[in-house]
Amino acid sequence: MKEIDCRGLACPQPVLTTKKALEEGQEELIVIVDNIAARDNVERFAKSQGAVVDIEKKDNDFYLHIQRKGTCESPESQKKFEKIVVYINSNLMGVGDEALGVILMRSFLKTLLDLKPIPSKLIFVNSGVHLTTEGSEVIESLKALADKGVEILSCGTCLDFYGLKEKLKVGIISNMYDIAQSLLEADRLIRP
Amino acid sequence: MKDRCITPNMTVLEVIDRYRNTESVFKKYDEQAGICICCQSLFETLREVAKKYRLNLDQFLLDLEDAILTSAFPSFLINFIRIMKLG
Repeated sequence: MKEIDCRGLACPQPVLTTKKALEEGQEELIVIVDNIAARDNVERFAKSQGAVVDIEKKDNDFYLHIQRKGTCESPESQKKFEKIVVYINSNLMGVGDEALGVILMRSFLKTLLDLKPIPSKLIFVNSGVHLTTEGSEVIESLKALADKGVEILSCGTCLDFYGLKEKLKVGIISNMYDIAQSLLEADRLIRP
Repeated sequence: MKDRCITPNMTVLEVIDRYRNTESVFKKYDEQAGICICCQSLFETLREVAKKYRLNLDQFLLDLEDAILTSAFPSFLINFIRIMKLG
C-alpha cells in the first residue's frame, strides 16, 4: 500500500498529491497530514472520488487510510457501491399535514440506517437544512449515517438564508457546484 | 474582457489543479480574506469565495488570469493578448 507523507505541506498540496495518486490508479493508500484543515480537505476530496476513508490519529498527525470503493469486491457486490444520492429539499416528507410530514421525515432518516444499500450522499437544500442544524431531532441518525461513510451536504446558501450557518451539527457546508455535480453523477436519485 | 480561461463557477481546487502557478495568487488574497483560502475554501467556487470574504471578484479573476498568462507567455505577448481581448 502506498504511503504519502504530506506532513509539512501547505494546503492544497496534500489534496493535489492525493488526487495524483488516485489518478495514477492507486486503489489503497495512506496519506499522512499534520493539521486539521489538510485532514478534512483530503477526506472530503477522497470521498468525492468514491473512496472510503478511515482516519487514525497518532500523536499530532492524522493517518488517512483511503480505499477506493469496490476494491476486492466481486462484480455482484459492487452494485451496492452505486452512487445513491438522497435529495432532501424540505424538512417535511410528503405533501399534506405539516406535523405528519415531520414525523415521516424523522422516520425515513432513521430507517435509512437499517437498510441496504446505504446511500453515498444526503443532500439537504432549502428548508431541508433545518434537519442538519441545531434543534433537529434527527441529528443522531444523521451522525450515525455519517459514521457509516455517508456524506452529508447542506446547501450553504440555504443555511445563510435561514440564519443557520453557525448552527450546523452534522456534515459539511456545500455549494451549488458540488450539489449539481452530485445530482448529475448519481446512479440513483432518491427524493423522499 | 471577452473570454476567460477561468470562470467564477470553478472551485479553488479546480483552478489550482489546472493552473498550478495560481496558488501564489490565492496566498496573496489570504491576507485580505483573513484566512487561508486553500485551507478553508478549497471546494468552494471563486464566486462564493469572493462573496464570503468580500473580495472584488473581477479583480480576483484578473489576478488569477495574469498568473496563468505570466507562466505561459513573455510579458510583451501578455500585453498583446490583453489588448486583443479588450478590443
